[in-house]
Amino acid sequence: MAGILDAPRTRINGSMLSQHINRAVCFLGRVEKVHQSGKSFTLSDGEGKSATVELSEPLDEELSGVVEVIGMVSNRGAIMASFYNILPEDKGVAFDLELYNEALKVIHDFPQHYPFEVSSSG
Amino acid sequence: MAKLSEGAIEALSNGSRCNDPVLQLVNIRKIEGGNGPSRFRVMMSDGLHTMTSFMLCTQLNCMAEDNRLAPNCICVLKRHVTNILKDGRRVVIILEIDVLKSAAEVGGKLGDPIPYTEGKTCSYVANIGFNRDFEKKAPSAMPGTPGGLSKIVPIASLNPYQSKWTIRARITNKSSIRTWSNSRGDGKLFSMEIVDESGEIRVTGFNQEVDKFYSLIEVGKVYYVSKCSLKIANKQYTSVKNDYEMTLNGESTIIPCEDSCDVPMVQCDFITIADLENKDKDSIVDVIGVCKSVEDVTRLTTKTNREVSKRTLNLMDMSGKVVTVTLWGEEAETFDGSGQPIVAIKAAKLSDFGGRSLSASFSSTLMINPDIPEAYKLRGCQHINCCSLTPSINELVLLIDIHFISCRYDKDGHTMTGQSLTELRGGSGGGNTNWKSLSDVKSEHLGHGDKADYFTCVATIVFLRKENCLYQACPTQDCNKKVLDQQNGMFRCEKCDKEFPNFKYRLILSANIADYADNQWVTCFQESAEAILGQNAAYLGVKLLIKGIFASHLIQNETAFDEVFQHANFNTFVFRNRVKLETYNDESRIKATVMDVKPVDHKDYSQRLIMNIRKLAAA
Repeated sequence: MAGILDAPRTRINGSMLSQHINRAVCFLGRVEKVHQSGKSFTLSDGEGKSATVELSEPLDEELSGVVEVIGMVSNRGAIMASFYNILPEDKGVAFDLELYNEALKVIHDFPQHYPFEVSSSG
Repeated sequence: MAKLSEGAIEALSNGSRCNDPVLQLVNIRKIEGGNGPSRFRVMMSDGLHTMTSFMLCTQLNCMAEDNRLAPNCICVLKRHVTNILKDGRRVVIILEIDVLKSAAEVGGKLGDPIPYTEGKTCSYVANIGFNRDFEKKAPSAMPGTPGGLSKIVPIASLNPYQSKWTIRARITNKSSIRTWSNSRGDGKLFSMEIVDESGEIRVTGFNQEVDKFYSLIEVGKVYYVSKCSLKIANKQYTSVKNDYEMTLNGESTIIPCEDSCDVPMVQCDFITIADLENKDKDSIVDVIGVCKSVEDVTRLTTKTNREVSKRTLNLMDMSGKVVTVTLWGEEAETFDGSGQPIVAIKAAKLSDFGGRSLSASFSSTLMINPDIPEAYKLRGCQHINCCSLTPSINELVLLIDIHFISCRYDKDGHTMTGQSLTELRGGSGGGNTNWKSLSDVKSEHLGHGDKADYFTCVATIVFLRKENCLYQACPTQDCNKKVLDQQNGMFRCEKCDKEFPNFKYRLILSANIADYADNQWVTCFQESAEAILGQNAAYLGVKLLIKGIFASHLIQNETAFDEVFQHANFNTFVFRNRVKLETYNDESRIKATVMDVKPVDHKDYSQRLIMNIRKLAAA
């Protein structure tokens, strides 16, 4: 767990989750639903596909807007989050998830130009 | 035949009252008044005496210009003020005059008047003193003045030839205190605008007068103002409709007036944000809107090493359009945009930076939730439409008023976006933008044709040549020609064929810009140079004002000056450039001129990059 920030973590969207099982990923999405237990929430990506994020501890703050999560993808395709970060939207321009998704696709389509350890994602 | 009011000249001359005297105009002469409006000096006769010390107030110049006031015509002097010059002579300023018989009807001089000389007899001298007192105590139709003040006159009648007057006026705008520091020393000043039923005027106070009056004066209150110096207004720095402006001096008095209900409030002539598109750059406009969003205060250091606070906010009005407004100084710092207040700005300056934007300069008045009908109208719309919505949607729909606006819904039908007049993030500039990299410009030989080529690029400032980046330009509004220093305190403009005691500084900045592939020397003029250096017209205006008054040199502090250039380095912008091959002394070189500088719209830029990547991959 300690090493997750040091390890290469691939930026992915919802449709790439199944290809990254048991690997460290970075996922960005808009908060859709927070489970009443506070231990899991769902994010929807720039294509509208959603991902479930599971936490080891219940949330101690309100979650909304765009959130970046770093974690391992479980066998069931959920992200076991180690860290999350809320992208504040009240300052500057709102984060454009669709555009982010387009950029992600470019990174994955041309791994030779973006050597961020994504080539192994297949 | 109209009968002249015999003895009226004598009465006018020694300050006695005389009601509506009928006089014959003997002669009228135009006096060219430097850079101010010309004035007319009039010689009048009452049949017994003539007197030459009549002046026509400038508002009546038209009567002289279209020859209604011509020698021999008979007139009735309806309203006038008598001024005593420092040497004791009296000048009668004609404020209102009616022509009873035209010059043609009269045909000749009436009677055999002789020039009146004051003090011809001792009794007149004695009279002067008496009448001065009398004047002060004279019952007046105007509201009473506090003890010792001269009679109340309308602002419209003020002129530099008068010394004794009091006006009763409401403060409509008070600037913050501005300071300057140059080789001649330090100082501070503030200015305010005051209005009465006849008109408005700008008042400036310096140093001691700042200490004496600044804290006393409250915007919106009514005061008696007297004994200020009047001078020709410098229209470059103010939109106040008056040929003159006043300066507070050691003798000036400002006394609060309790009975003030009849003095008009600030007068705004609001235009809709949508209409800003049709206004010229640098127009002074009044706008009102809901403060849709507000950015944090930023601080910039000016060339004079002064820190200036700046804050931008977005205003939206019933036209459904949005415009960016920049506030400066104290107003930027204290502005509270929470709760989406209604913001009205009187005399904002329209800029074409980033499409259309507004700047609230020192002469603007900022009003938050003002007590005026327009504000309630806007507030009404806001309340009807934004209950129980999430804040972000609130923000967007706050102005949907079915009766007023045809709104544009997005595909989900949730939100209405105000269409921004200010291209907030640069914008792609429409579909016909000719995007090029700097290496494309060279490899494609842009500018080598008969006509100049235009291209747009994203590039970073890598060097700014600060030598000779400012020049002394003709102070005439639309003439930016370089002036020649005559070495006698005057500056000559060849284009206007005139000499001026002043000039304005303009920028001509040489910059080296680079992108991933190449670099290019470009020339930036005023607006684009200001954008690059992080200055804007309003700020420059403030500096020009201070400089205009004190004729000091712009670049006082070499390090502060350097700092502006340091800060400007390595900033990235979207440049729209014009390129043309130019030949000097048989040597041809590509000359690139910056037409427009905008901040990079990262969203737009990434979209374009992604599109280009996809296009290249497909090829």
